[in-house]
Amino acid sequence: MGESLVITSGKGGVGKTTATANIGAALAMMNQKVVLVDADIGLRNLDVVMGLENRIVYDLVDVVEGFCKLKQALIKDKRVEGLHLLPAAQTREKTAVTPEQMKNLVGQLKEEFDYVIVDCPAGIEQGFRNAVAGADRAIVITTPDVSSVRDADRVIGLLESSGFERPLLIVNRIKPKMVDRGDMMDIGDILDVLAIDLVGVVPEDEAILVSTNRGEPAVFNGSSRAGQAFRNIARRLRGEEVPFMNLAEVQGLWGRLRKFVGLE
Amino acid sequence: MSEKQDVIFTGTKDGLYLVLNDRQDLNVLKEKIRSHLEKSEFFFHGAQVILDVGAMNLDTDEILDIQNAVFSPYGLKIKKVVHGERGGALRRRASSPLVPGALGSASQIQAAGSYRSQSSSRVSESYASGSEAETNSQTQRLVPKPGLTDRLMDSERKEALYREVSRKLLEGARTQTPASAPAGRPVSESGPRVSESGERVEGPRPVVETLLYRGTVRSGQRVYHPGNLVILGDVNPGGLVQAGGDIVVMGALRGVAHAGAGGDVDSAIYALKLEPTQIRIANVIGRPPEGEERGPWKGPETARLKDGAIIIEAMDNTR
Repeated sequence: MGESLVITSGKGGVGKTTATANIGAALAMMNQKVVLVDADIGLRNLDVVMGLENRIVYDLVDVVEGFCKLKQALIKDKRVEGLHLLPAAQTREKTAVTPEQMKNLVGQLKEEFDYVIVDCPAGIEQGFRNAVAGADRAIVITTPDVSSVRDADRVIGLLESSGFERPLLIVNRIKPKMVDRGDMMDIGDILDVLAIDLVGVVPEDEAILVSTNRGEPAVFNGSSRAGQAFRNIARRLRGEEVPFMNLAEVQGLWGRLRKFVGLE
Repeated sequence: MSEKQDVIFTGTKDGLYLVLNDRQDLNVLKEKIRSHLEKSEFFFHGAQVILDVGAMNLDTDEILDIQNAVFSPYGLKIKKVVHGERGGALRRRASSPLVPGALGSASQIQAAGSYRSQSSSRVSESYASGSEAETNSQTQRLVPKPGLTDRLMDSERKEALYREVSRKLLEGARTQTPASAPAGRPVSESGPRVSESGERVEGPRPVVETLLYRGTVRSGQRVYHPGNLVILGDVNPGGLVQAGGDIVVMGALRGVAHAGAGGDVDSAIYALKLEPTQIRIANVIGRPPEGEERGPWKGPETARLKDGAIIIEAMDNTR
C-alpha cells in the first residue's frame, strides 16, 4: 500500500505542477513506483511539463466515468523506470469529478504504486476539494511574496480543518541575493507566519524554465540547483535526514580563496 | 387569542426564540416544552434560548426551575428572558417585519455575567436607559395587552430580578437570595450599534464566558465568541477574531481583532505581539500608522479605547 500526497498552494503560478513533476521524477529515480495525477481538469499542464502530452488517449474523467480502465489511462514515462502519469481531461470542468470519486481513484492507485502525487489546481473550490480528497499527506508550496504566503496560510487552514494534521511546506523560487539585501521575505519570516514543517527550499533557477518548455523535469539535469533541491525534497519525503542546501551563490575561485585566507 | 399555541419555537440569529402563552399554567407549559424538545432533541442541542414569557411574572426560582428541569437535560441554556415583544409581533402579524437587532433593542434583560464588578452609579444608569428602551418597544407593540401598566411601572424592578436570575444560572448557585447578591455586569448599551461601515452590529452583549481557542487563526478563518476570547496561537493576516468582551492573543496578532463587538467600549485587546492589520473596539476602527517600519519586538501590548480613540500601550503599563 503506497502513500498519497497532494501538492497545493491556493495561489496559481507558484510551482505546483513543476514541483509535482520534479518530486515525482526524483522519487522514481530512487526506484519507487510513482504515479502523478493531474487534478487540474480543464487546465491541464502536468502532461506538458512532463513532455507526455502527445501520448494521451484516455484521461482521469474517462476513468471515473467508466469509459476506460485505469491501466489504459496511465502513461508510462520512458526516461525513468516506474514513473507514470494520469492526465486530466482538458475538455471538461472541475465539477466532472466528485471528491468521493477522487478518493476511490487514489485508493486504487495506492494499491499499485508506492507514491501517488496529486497536482492540485489553483483556488480553493471544487478542484481543490477533489485534489485533497484522497491524499494522506499534503505539501503546501509558496513563493517568498506576501500574496502567495497569504494564500498558503488560507490553504493550510482549509487542510487542517479537513483533517490534515501537519502539512509540509516548500518555499519555491527564493533568490538568495534578494533575501540578503532584505528585498525578499526570508524563510524565517515565512515560517513565522505559516508555522508548519519545512520540507524544502528551492532556489530560483533559469534551468526550470528551460526544462518546463522542453518537457524534461529539472531533476534529470545534474547541474541544476533547483533540480538538486527537488531531489533533496524527495529524499526527505522518504524519511532521510538531508541538510538544507547552502543557498548562497556559488562563489568564484577568488571568492573561495579569499574566504580560505580569511579576508571575508 | 384563545386558540393560540402554548409554545412556539422560532430560530433567530441570536438563538432559539421561545414564545410561551402567558395565560397557560406554567406546569402545562413546561410539559409542552419538554415534549417538544423530546421530539427534536438533537436539533436544538447546545442552543441558547430567548424565553418570551409574555405578560407572565416569573420569579427567580421559577425561571431557575425551567432552566434546570426543562432545558438543561436537552443541553439548552436560557440566554435571556423577555416580555412579549416578538411574540406579540408574531401572533398579531404586525405589519412591520422584524428587523435584525430588534430583540436587542427591545429588552435589556440579558444573561449578565458577573465577571467584572461595576460601580453602583453605572448600574442604575444603565438600568434607566434599559427601561426606557423597553418602554418604547412596548408602547409600540403591546398596548392592547392587559396588565401592561403594571409591567411598565415594574420594569426596573423586574429587570434587576432577571439579571439576578441570569447571574445565578451562570454560577449555578441556587442558595443566594436575590436581595443579597450583587448585580451582574450591567449592560451599558441601550440598543443595536451601527458600526462605521453602516453595518448593524448586534445590540447589548454582556460578557458571559471565556472561550479558549487552541491553534492558529489562519487567513479566511473567523473565530467569534459572545464572551471573552483567548487565542492560544497566532492570528494571521486575513484571519478575524471577534468577541463581545476582551480578546487575548497568546501569540502574534497579525490579522483583524474586534473586541467589544456588541458595543462594549471597555473591552480591550491584548497580544504578545501586536502587529494587527486592523483593530476594532466597539464601533471604533483603527489601523497601524502607514509607512512606519515595524521595529523590533516591543513586548506584549494592549489596545483599548480612550476618549473614543484606540490607544496602544505596553502591557505592563495597563495596571
